[in-house]
Amino acid sequence: TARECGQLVFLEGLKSAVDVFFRPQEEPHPLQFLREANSGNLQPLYEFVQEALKPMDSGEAAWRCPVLLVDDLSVLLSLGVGAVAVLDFIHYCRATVCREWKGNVVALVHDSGDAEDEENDILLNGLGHQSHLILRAEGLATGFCKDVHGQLRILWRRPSEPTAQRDRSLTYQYKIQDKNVSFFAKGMSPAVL
Amino acid sequence: MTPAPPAPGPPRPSSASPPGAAPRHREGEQGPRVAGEAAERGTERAAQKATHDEGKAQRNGELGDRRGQPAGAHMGGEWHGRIRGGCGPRQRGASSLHLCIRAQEGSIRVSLPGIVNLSTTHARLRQVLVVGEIVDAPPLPCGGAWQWVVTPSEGVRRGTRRILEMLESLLAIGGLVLLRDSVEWEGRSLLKALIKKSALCGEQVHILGCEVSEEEFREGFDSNINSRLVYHDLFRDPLNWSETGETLPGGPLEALRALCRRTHPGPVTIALDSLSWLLLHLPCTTLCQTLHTLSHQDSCRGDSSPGEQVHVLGLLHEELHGPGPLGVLSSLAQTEVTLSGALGQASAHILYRRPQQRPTHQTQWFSILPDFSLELQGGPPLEPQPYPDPRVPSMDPTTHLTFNLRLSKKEREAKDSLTLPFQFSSEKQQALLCPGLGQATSHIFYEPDAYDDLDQEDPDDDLDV
Repeated sequence: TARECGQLVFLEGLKSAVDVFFRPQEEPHPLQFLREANSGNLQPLYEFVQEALKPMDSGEAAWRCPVLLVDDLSVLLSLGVGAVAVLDFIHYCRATVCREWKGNVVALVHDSGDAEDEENDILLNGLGHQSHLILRAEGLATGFCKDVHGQLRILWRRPSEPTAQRDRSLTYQYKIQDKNVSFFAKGMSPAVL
Repeated sequence: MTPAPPAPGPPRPSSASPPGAAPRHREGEQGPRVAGEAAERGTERAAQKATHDEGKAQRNGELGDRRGQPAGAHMGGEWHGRIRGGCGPRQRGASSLHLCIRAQEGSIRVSLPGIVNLSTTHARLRQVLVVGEIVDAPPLPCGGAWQWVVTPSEGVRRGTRRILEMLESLLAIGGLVLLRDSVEWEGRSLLKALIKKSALCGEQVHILGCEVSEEEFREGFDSNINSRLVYHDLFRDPLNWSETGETLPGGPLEALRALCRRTHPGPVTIALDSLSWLLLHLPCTTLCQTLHTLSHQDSCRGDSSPGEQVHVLGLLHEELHGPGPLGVLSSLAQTEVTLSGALGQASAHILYRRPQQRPTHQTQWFSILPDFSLELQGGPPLEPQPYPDPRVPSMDPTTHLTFNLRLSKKEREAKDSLTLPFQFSSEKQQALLCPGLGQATSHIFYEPDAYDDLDQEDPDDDLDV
C-alpha cells in the first residue's frame, strides 16, 4: 500500500538491469552504466533518485524527510563500477537528500574481511568518512549461536552534540526474528538470563 | 581533624619572634579574595608565600579587627586546613602568608584587603610555589592598594603554554600542515580548531570544501569567526552533474588553482577539506604540483613581506590511499599530524620538519570541546596494576629438596681441577706434539693403486661436479 500511495519507490536492480538491454539506447535508464564500456559514472542513477525523491508540491500531502535505502553498494563494484564513481554517487545523494531535503541516506556495504579487495576497502573507508553514523554488524567472535545471531557496533562520527562525554561507540548483540530484530546488551540475551 | 597538607610544600620558616618585638599577628589572616578563582579547569595551583620582616608593627593596628575571629575564617575552611595542616587558636608570631589559588590560564588576580602597606608586602614576596616546584617570584607590578596582579610563574606558564602551543606550533612553521585521520579517529574537528585559531589571529581563511556542506562546516563557529571564513563550495555539485552552471567552472582543479592566484595581501590560511577527495579526483602529480605552488606562494611573490606566511591545512584520510601518494604528500608537508587514540581518548602524533633542522616528534593527548577549542589531556586512564598478593610469603625454593644442590669443599676442588676434554691447554699441546710411550696411536698405511683417482677437492668421490 505504501507503494501505491507513492510513499515507497522501489527500484529493483535485477529486473531493471534486464530492461536496459531491451530498450532503445537513446532513453536514459538508471542502470545505464551496464552498457558502457568504461567504468562510467552513476549520474543516470543519481538522476533517477533525484526524480523519485523530489518533494512534490502539487497539492497532495507531501512526504517529509525522504529516506534513501541502498542495498547494496558492493554489488555495484562487482558490476564494474569504480569505487570512486560509487563514492561520487553517494556524495551527490548526500548533497541532495541530506542537505537540500533534510533526509537520510542509508547504504549497505559488505566488508571483504580477510579477502584483500582494494576497491572494496576504498569504498568502505570512503563511505565511513562520509558517514555520520556507522553500524557494523558482525558475527560473534566465539562462533555461531542459536540465540544470539551477531553483534552490532555503533560508531558516531559527528561531534556535534554539546554534551561533552557522550559514548562514541556502543555494542549490542542481536537476534533476528521473523520480521523483527531484538537487541540486548552484551551477555544479556534472554536465553542466558 | 583537618587533613594534612597535600604536596610537599616549602619548609616553613622558623618564625622566631625576636625578643622585644611587639607581638605580631599573621598578616596572612587577611582574607585574600581571589577573582577568577575556582575554575575547575585550572592547571596549576600557585601558593604564594611571603615572609614579612619584623618592622611591620605599624600594620598591626589595622589588623586588630580580625583578632576576634577564629583562625581560617577568611578563606574557606578547607583551604585553610590544607595549608596549615590543622591549627588551633591563632598563632602569634607567625609571619607567613599562604594563599592557595587555582590558576586559570593566564594570570591570577589576587586582592588582599586589609593590608595597607602592599608595596612592602610585594617586596617581601619571596617564593611562588607551583605544585611540584618552587620558583623565585618574578617582579610584580603593584596595582591599586587592594589589588595585586600576579603573573603566574614559569612553571604555571609552562603548563598553560603547552595548551596554547600545540595549535600555535602546528601553525608556526607555515607551509603545508597535513592532518591524517582515520574512520575511527576523525580529524575534521582538529581542522576546525586550527581554522578557529587562525581566524582568531586575524588571518583570512579560505576553505575548499569538498566533503561536507557549508552549513555543516560552519556549525559550531560563532559569527565573528564565520565572517572571516570564505567557503568555496565544491560539495554541492563538484562534477557538474546538475548542469545548472552554479558550479565553479573547470572543476576542482581550477578551484584549487584559483586559490593560488589570490591577490589579497596579508597572512592567509587555506584549508583543504579534504585532500583525499582531491587525490581521488585529480592525478596525484598535478595535485602535488599545485599544493607546492600553494604553500610556497610568498616566496614567489617578491613584494610580500617575510612575515606573511601561507598556511595550508590539508585533511587526508589515510586508509583511502596507497603508500605512494601518502608518502608524497607526507614529504611535501612541513608539519604532519597523525591522529589515533586509545580507550576513548584521542592522540596526535606530530612530526615537525623545520627548515634546516632535524625533524622532531611529539605525541599529545587531547580532546576538542564543542566550541572547537583544544584541551590537552594527560593520557588514557591506565589499567589498574594487579597487586602482588601480600599474604603469600616468598619462599626459598632451594629448601626441602630431595637432592643436594650444594657442593662440599672436596667436590668443588675436584670440579675446578677438571680439564675439559676439548679444551686446548698446554698439557694437551705437549701430549700431541710428543707422543709418549704409553699412548697408542694408530697409523693408517695407504697405497693408492692404479684405479684410484685421488681428487683433493672431492676425496670421497661423491660430489656431482
